[in-house]
Amino acid sequence: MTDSNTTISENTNDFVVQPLHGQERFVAPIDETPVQEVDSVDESKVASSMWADAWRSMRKNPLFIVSGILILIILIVAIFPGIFTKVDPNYCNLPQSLDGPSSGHPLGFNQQGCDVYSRVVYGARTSVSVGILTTVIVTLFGGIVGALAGFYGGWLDAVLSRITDIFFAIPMLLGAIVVLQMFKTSTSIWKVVLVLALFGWVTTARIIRGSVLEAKNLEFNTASTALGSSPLRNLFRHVVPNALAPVIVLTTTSLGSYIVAEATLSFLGVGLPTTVVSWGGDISDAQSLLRIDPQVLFYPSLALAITVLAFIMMGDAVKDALDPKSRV
Amino acid sequence: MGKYLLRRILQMIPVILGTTLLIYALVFALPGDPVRAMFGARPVNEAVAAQIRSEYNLDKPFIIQYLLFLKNALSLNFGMTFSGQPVISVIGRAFPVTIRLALMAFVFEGIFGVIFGVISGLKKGKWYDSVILIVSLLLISVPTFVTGFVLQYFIGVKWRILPVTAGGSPGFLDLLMPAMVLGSVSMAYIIRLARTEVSSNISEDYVRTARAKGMSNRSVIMRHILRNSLIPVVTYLGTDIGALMGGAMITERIFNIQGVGNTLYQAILRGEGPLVVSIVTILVLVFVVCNLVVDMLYAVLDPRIRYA
Amino acid sequence: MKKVSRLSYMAAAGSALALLLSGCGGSSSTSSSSTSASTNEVMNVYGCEPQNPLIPANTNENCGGNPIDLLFAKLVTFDTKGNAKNEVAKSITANADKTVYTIVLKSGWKFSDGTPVTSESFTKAWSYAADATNAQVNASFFSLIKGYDALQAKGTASDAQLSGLKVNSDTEFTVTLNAPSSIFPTMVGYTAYAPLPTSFYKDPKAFGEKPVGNGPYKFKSWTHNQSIDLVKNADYKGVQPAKNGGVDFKVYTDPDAAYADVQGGNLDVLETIPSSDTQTFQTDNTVQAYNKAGSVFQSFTFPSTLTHFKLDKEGRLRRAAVSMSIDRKTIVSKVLGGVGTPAVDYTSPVTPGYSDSLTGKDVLSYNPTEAKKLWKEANAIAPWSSSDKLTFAYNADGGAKPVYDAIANSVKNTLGIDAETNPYATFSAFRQAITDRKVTSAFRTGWQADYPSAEDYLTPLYSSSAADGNGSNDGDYKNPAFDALLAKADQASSTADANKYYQQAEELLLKDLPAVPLYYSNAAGVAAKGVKGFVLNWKNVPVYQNLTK
Repeated sequence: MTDSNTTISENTNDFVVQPLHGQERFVAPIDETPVQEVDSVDESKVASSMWADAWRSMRKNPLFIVSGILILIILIVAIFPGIFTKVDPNYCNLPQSLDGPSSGHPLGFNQQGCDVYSRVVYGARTSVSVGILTTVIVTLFGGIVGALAGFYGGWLDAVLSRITDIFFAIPMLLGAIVVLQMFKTSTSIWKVVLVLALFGWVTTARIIRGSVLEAKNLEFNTASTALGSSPLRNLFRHVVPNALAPVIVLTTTSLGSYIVAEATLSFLGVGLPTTVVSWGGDISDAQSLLRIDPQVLFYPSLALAITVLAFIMMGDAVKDALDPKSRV
Repeated sequence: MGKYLLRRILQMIPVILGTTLLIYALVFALPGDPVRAMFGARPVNEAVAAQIRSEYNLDKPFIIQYLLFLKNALSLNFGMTFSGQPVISVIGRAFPVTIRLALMAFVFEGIFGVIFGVISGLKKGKWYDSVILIVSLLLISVPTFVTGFVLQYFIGVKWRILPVTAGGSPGFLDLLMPAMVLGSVSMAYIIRLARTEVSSNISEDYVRTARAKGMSNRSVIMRHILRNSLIPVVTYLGTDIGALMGGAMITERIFNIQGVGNTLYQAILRGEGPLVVSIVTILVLVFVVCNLVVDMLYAVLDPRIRYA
Repeated sequence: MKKVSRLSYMAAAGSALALLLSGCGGSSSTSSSSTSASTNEVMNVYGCEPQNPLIPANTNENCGGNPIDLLFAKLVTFDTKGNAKNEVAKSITANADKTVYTIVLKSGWKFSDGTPVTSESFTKAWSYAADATNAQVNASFFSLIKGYDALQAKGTASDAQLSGLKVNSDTEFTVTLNAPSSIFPTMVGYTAYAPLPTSFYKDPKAFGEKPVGNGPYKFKSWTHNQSIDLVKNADYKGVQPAKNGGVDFKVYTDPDAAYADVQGGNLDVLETIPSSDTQTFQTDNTVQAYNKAGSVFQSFTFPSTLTHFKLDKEGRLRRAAVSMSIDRKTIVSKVLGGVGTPAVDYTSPVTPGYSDSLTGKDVLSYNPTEAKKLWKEANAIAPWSSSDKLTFAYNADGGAKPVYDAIANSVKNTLGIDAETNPYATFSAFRQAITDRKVTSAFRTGWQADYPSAEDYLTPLYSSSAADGNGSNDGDYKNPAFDALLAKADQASSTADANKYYQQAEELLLKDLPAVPLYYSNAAGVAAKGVKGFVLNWKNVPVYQNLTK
């Protein structure tokens, strides 16, 4: 950089006015700090990713702590129901139908004479699995379809969006009867998960598509393209994380709604096999007892509501953490 | 813009073909023989059954049945129901009721969802934010059939505030309670979406800029925050109107509304192909048009999105 | 003959003859044109959208059947106890071997369009119904009449006549049957045997939307999915004239909504109790309740090919053991809320021929010790392995779930075996699996007679001729001794004699248990406060003519 003066003036003579003859020249001393050093990354520190930042801010959030504990408890109940009760949820003695609480049976009995407490405990596994599995499938599938459609636009958007239109219109009852009939022999919860996922992914796809459409026009995306980043890399590094907030809210809320939807399927007679203990099935069975013994309806509904609440709070906490602007 | 619209309208053709084929296939795959079911558990007179099958083309292979349906549909003949009425007149009776119900639910969830969601988002952490959160949570976590029966029992039977059921040709008051029940879950979703969007937009640069310019709080909220927060809400509302029309199966049953959901429910249980397909096709058209409107609204709400 | 698709409709079920039944005995037996205490009030009653046009021979469910029975008067009608009484018929006389019947009509009967009711009104209507070309769902009801088979061929002219029907004059015709039947004079009281005016044949479709009949009510209007409105027919000549000005059938899809409307005073009468109200409707002070033994027979059937439950010694022991391990009394009170009565025979308490003292009825009472003992004896013949289980199939769209859950639990707890339920999503899928013989478990069967006779509870369900897909003998039960008793009853000289044979036949069934009787659904319903004359007939249907307010 020794004779930079001349070099510059030569190369930029379009807009650098040449000094008049005999005029005194003043040249500022060269800035001694190289540009690279200001912008350089401290490589001795651990790289800070979006997720690490999120985690750091999240673990201080009381919303996260409360919902985390709740979800942990729900998961423990779901995985080890035997710790919480010794009563068999499938032992039902009709003469005890709708009896009140007694020793060893803190919540009394339902219409079939089964222990309500034990069924609430054992129902957690089914209901939580249905909720989580459906949410995972729906988010992955709907997310990919929505992101691709919104990001690439054009014919891909047209095709994918029209396919979602078709799926929106299929009546859930019709699809459920056909799907359940196809897997008549299987007694697992997978077929209900499949039915719910089949009809759930479209909503997620639409929401993601909308958010991606919005995010792809933001400045950082243009900037990244200008820097030579490939479209696919852009999509996953920049667009998707920025479109994630509404999706997280949607998925955490819909996790609860899938558990509820399972109850609706039971109400329509196309739900889980009757041997499987679930909150949804119990709510559907107890619905007709609303005016006779609302308690039987109340307990599984309460368990469901607490679970839904926990996941929604968790969703809020994660979303706040992912959004750098709302970080405290 | 005009070209874009035309393209979207042309896209409806494959969508309708795809839907009708898919639904017809699903109805065809339904377990059970609709003609035998007409006899209940009485002995089936096979000669009579054969006569009925040929009348409804049920004796032909699936693809022929479908093509015949399409061919007739082109001349606006959508076939007959098993009860001997033209499908078109069944639809003509069911849709007006359901459209009224869906619009009422739509307005209900749109207005209250946005109002509560925005209040909640602007005042995050306040007590009424918590109250709104808990109420919306309850609506999501209790199945519609429970909410419906509870409301019907208290508001209709016990306190006699609103009509118990809607019946044949329902008016505004008859549909008020069903519309609230139908719209309640979606309202809870909208509250949550709006709340999230508002609370994240409130800390955006342009809001700070607007405030720095000295803009009143009211115009900041109305002109900037609201407008930017509405995209996901509009998407949701757009997809919901179709769901409200087709998804009212349970609400319509509880309140005895002879609309689309109820008709569709019975048609599915009876395995009436032409009726199910015709109803669903109309629902698809509603979805497609709503989505088109939603996409148009995007461009209005966010000038950065442009269609060519 | 009808199987009942939906439990909730059971109390409502019954397509026939709302004419002159239960409580109306005294006043109405004075017959004819008495205008005693009639009002012009129009009653709002529970209804549903008919599955078919309003044509008698094409209607086999209540939604269309209840209005049709008010619109058409048949040859006979039934009184409170289900005994046949002449209506349009002056006399119905059989020859010695009960294969030829001569029917004489009363004169002066008219359809509401003014045309007279003649022999041809009946013979042409029956031939039309039997003719397969016309695709009437009740065609099989005429299979008893000579010439039926000829009308089943493809391409039969739509106006072909049954060769067994012969018109002698405007008021007399003879019917020749394929085989002896003592029950024929009762059968002709069923909906499908209604007479039709000549205008019907010009345009049956239009007729089905706007029927013309000779019953106690005239057709006024039918707004699909809303209501079917009938008005009193002043020209009606029969024994059960209307005391009100008309009946409006309000269309519901869910009885829950209808119950709420009765409570709210918007609906006058509902003849079924939704399951959410069974425990409370009798103490509900916003309605008038009605609850008496009814005519729907509920059972589950063992296919005769079901492993461990075949018709051999082991199978009989196991069937009896299962039957005795079901606590019917508790199920009726705890699950049905009392709107049922534990079964003690194969008919129903309101059917002529019913008996609560059949030999061998002990197999229908709850007896855990005996059940375990019989099960053990069966195990000695062929062991029940730990992988075996007993499954009960039912249709989930009819509200049968709690009952079948309770049955499975009862069997499981008593016998200590693995018992579970297998719901089919729709009645249609369930029936298809049964008729295709694809159900490899016990399955739900519900039955209500179309005319009040023990015969209609036995012949269609357990006779060999109805097995193998030829009828409703879904378990393919075959027992020559049983068939012989039915044949004897068919030629019996009196109903009382016939009933004796039917009861002997039922005693055979109690040994074999082709179906295990569970309970009879009650005739239960509610009426709004202020409604008078609310009773349900032998078909669990309100006597609409007697309603006033």
